[in-house]
Amino acid sequence: MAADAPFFSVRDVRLSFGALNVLNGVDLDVNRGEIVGLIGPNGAGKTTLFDVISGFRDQARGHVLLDGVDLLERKAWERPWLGLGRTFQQVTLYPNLTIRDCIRLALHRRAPDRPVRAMFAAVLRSWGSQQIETEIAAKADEVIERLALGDYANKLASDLSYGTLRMAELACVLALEPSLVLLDEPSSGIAQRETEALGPLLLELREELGATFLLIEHDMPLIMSVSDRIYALANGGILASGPPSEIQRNEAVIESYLGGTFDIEVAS
Amino acid sequence: MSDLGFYLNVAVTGLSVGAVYALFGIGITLIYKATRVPNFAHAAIGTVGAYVFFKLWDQTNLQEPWINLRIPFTGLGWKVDPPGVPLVVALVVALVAVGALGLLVERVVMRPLASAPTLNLIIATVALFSLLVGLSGDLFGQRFEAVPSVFPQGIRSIGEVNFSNDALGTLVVTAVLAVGLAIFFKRAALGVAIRATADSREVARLLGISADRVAGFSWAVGSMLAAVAGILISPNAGLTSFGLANLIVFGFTASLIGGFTSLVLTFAGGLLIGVVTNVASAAPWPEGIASDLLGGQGAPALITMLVVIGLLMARPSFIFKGIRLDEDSGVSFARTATGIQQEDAIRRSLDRAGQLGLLLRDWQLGRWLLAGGAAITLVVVPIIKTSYYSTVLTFGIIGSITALSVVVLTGWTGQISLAPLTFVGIGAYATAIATSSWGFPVPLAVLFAGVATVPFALLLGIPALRLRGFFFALATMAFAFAGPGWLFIQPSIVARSQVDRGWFGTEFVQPIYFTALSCAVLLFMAMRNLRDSRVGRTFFALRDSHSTAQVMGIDPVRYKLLAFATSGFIAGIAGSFTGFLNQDVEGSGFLLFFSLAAVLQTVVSGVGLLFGAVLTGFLFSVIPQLTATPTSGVDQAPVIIGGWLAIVTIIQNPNGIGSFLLRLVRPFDPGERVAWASAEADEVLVADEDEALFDEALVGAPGGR
Repeated sequence: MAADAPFFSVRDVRLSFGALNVLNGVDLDVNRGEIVGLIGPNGAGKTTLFDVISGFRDQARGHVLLDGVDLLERKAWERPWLGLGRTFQQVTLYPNLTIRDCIRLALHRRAPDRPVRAMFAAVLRSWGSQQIETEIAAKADEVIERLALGDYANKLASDLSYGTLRMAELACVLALEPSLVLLDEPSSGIAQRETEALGPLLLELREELGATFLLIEHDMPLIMSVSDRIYALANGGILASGPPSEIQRNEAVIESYLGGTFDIEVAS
Repeated sequence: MSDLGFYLNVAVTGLSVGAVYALFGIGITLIYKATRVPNFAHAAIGTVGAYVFFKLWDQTNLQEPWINLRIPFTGLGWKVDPPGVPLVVALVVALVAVGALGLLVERVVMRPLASAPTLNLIIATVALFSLLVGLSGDLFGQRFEAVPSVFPQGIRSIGEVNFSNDALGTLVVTAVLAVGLAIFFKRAALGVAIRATADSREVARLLGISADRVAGFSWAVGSMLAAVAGILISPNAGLTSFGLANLIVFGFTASLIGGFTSLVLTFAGGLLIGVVTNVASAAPWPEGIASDLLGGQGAPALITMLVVIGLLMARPSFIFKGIRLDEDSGVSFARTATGIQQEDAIRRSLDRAGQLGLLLRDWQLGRWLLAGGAAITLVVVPIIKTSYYSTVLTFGIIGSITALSVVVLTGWTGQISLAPLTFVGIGAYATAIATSSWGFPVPLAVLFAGVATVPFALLLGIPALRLRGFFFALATMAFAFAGPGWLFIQPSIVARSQVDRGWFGTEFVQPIYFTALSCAVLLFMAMRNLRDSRVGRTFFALRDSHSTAQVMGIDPVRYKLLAFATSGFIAGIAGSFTGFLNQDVEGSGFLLFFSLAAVLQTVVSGVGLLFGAVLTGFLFSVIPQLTATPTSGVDQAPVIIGGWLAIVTIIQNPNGIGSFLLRLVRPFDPGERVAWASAEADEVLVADEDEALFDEALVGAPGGR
């Protein structure tokens, strides 16, 4: 891989359901440490693209390269081990588990994935497995503290309000320590005040984790303020790309998505 | 008679049997279409209908013509001899009775579950199955009764092929009912309403179709169809509650061939299964392994299993139009809002009365007393009492170990397997073979039973990788049926079904008991360790959300198979002790019915709860033994009560009674009082709002007051 190849790139990804082309040749690049926004009208293929990247649409063709590895050749569950993390548009997490357990599950990635050996170790309470459990527990406490989830740590995911659930999901993704995070509308379903806090939080997290973000968002002030660059999708293809200030002035984007009356001043 | 003639005759018998399967299938499809309920109790309802009919009809000559009205647990009761009436009267009474039963089931059991996940519906109908079979056994007797055909005796021949009147009549009745239903769905307003409801419940409701009426009608008619099927098959199959209810497997197979939508395909599917199984049973397979495996008595169960699992795995699109076989990802028994409110309300009122702290303190003390009492009972009673009690307690321990296997697979990993006893059976036969044929010593044989069960459990795990919810349950049911129906009757296995008790010697009861007890304790501790580990947590994750698990890097394949293997190993150990205790391993101990009972017991206590499951597994095994009386045989009251408890649990609090109680005594959190206060404030607010809206509606309504 050439040294100047982008950290994450999507190359000519196509997906069709029968005669309907959902994605027709999407190309995009994300550099290490960037926050890249993805906007577009409903049905543009944003979430579908996320599903392709994270492995929930295995009929897709093309290439999705993360740090030189083609993700499309790996199973969905293998991708987190290669550094991919994602959130869902509709959060569920694990309804019958406590937030603490949800976060611990994300932290399993810190130990080698050998189910049979892990089971025997667990059944016998081996020293090694106890070590790992202690480590995971300590790390989970850290994550809980970082995202101020202390009051909810022992509550079941299904008992939480949607906004808190979103935060918990974000905590789980961070616990995975991914190198690339896909966030699917992190502001949907949460209160305005929480949305406003989300932008600074994302920027802080990027600093702390050194992670790269790809973000779908309909909240224009939020996405315009945090993104380094933005891709606009329409009808399963890339319509335009560039820094937020350019995208806001792009005729085609305004036509298809932002609408003529979009107030540029909001984001600046 | 020529070979061809012979097979044609075999095929004709198959057709008439298949017609009954088709009739069961049509009823199942009708109810599934209209209400989305997979009715595992369908054939059990048919059994009730058949019993009512044959008890009344004056042409029967039953060993037990009376109806037993028993007082549970006492062995006391009355025998009521129903009057003999002509065929038509008996038929009408049976149909009305079963139609009413269907309505009752819909009203009391299914309606409260209208919006429940499919898993809860499965448990509810499985519980109903258990309850009705138990009730039939108690009310109508447990003996195998031979009954005459409802059609006059006689045979018509066309060339070499003989049609008995029974076969002809069955075919004609079934065909008429199928065609009648098809026309009803096409033409009658209610038929169209059912189809509309099946397509989209919401749209149907908007169009003013009453879902309750549609459901009630389907349950009544579906149940009557089941009764007709039961009456038609009894002369062939014999009248027993266990045997007839088991025909559910064939009914589901027919429905599956019809994709749970098409009545025509269901009908054809039933006939096909009837003919193929009958011909396979009679076919001249080469002597030896081929004839053992493929022919004879075992053929129907084997073929059904292969058809069911094959269809579900291959998913041919001409059958499964518009049905998604993995639609259920919610496989956990979630707590319902009412359950949570009840828990909260009880704690709140205790707190108000100043009793909550007291309860929590008493509970801390009480749990130690309970544990101590249990330990003393388990250790002391078998030493001082006769071997009878040790035997009974050993059954209890075996029940507990079986329950552990259900908890791991269903409670933790969310795989609703209806075949736990099949694995227990495999463990028992493995023990017999290992001790008698290979001379394994006891510890090695126990271990071997566990290990030998693992490959079978993995085999059942393969469909679980593609199927969820109802359709996986269906695959496991076919598997559970094929255990005693095919595998355990293989001549090579039956010939080796004697366990050599080895070290346990002639005074075997207490040694077996204490060995089983220690194994149970070890397994319990091992599973508790597992629960609190990475692996246990991963199982929970797969139960709760498949997609979230995958984005967290959990491999569903390896972990699910691991859960199956673990569960199989535990069940195999339970089977090993069953073998040592009984010495003669018999396939009839591992019938589908017992598998279902084992699943239900765990649901009652709380399917994810280790200790609760172990306790109910123990109790449900011990109580029937203790209440059995020499005169009346096994009292079915525990089965009936267990079924009823499972239904109540799944409606009220699917999380189980144990979880409910445990949440009542959870440590007090000061935040709770705050939550109660705000909940009360909300209630007042909502009430006010409702009132305001109501006032507005009255004032604002056109032409209002």
